[in-house]
Amino acid sequence: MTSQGTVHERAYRGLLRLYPTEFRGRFGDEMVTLFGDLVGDARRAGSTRRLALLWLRILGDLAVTAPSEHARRDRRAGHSLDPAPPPWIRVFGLLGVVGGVVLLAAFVVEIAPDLNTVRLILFNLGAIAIVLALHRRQLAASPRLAWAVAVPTVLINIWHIGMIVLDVGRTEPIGAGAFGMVYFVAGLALWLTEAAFGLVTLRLAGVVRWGGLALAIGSVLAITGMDRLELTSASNPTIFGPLALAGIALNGIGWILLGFAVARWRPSVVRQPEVPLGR
Amino acid sequence: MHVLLAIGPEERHGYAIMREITRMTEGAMRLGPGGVYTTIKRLLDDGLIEECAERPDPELDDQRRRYYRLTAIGRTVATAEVRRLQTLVQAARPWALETAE
Repeated sequence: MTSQGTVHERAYRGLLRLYPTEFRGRFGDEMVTLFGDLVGDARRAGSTRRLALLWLRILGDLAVTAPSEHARRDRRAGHSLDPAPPPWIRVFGLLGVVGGVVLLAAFVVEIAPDLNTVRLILFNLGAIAIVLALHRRQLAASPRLAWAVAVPTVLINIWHIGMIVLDVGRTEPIGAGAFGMVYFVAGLALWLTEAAFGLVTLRLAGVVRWGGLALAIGSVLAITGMDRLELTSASNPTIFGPLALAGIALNGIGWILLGFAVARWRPSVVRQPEVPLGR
Repeated sequence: MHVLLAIGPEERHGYAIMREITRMTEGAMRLGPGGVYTTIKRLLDDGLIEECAERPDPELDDQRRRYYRLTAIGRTVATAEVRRLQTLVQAARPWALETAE
């Protein structure tokens, strides 16, 4: 194959990203080989016009078959013979929903300081539950990325819970002194790992993708609201205040969407034997 | 159906299937790689075709190529469908085809 052929094949291989990952993994190499054959045919005919027509045909082929393959995969997932997730996944999903709801609750009602501790712990537990519940699906899509985000997200949420528990009984503000610095680092790591987890979740299909997107954007925006960054101090009102609040809300919505997605239960249809009429 | 018939009794790879379809339909149907492989995937999932275990000799052919052949069920389905179409064509012949000729 000539270098020009290789360029065409590389471009086509790039376009194959439009297909679902598992389809591309299974047939990608063959499709590129077939495309290389077609480019070879066009080049043997010695006509640039044929090559241009081939590309037009290929783009049309991609425009029709890539979305239909996505739709087929989603339909197949929707009609899976395994309609109900295991109970523990449902419990974890609901815990994630609770985590997201308690995060959003502070926007609606005044939370007492004592309850705030419980609220933050519930939020962290919800996040851990969702990470564990989604891990198997992420493993199927990309094992390395799945481990790369699951382990730090779980560990840092545990770390964050630890910081909240250690703060109980302390009289100083949570952000003060050396403890405050460690708490700041834990918080920053928390938002960053949750953003990474959201991004990796974008690789999955269905509603969870929207949850992942909300989580990724929300977590990054939430960083701007961290006290030590001093972007949102009362004496210096900036756009970062509303952005940080929107980020925290988006983060909560992300966990709720992910929680519902993993806890979703579809009852399987049990056919009753037909009783002949008139007997 | 076109892919099933294009494979026929042979073992064929994607490019050969595509060329055979173009030949069978006298150029009326030209599938792209996406059309060929989404159909192959469906037929594999339905158990109508299978991938041949043997890979081509690297000196004779590209190792990335995979060859496909009909399964017993695929052959039965293809035969049944051809019979159905044959019956349909015979039923249509007195008026649709003869007036066209």
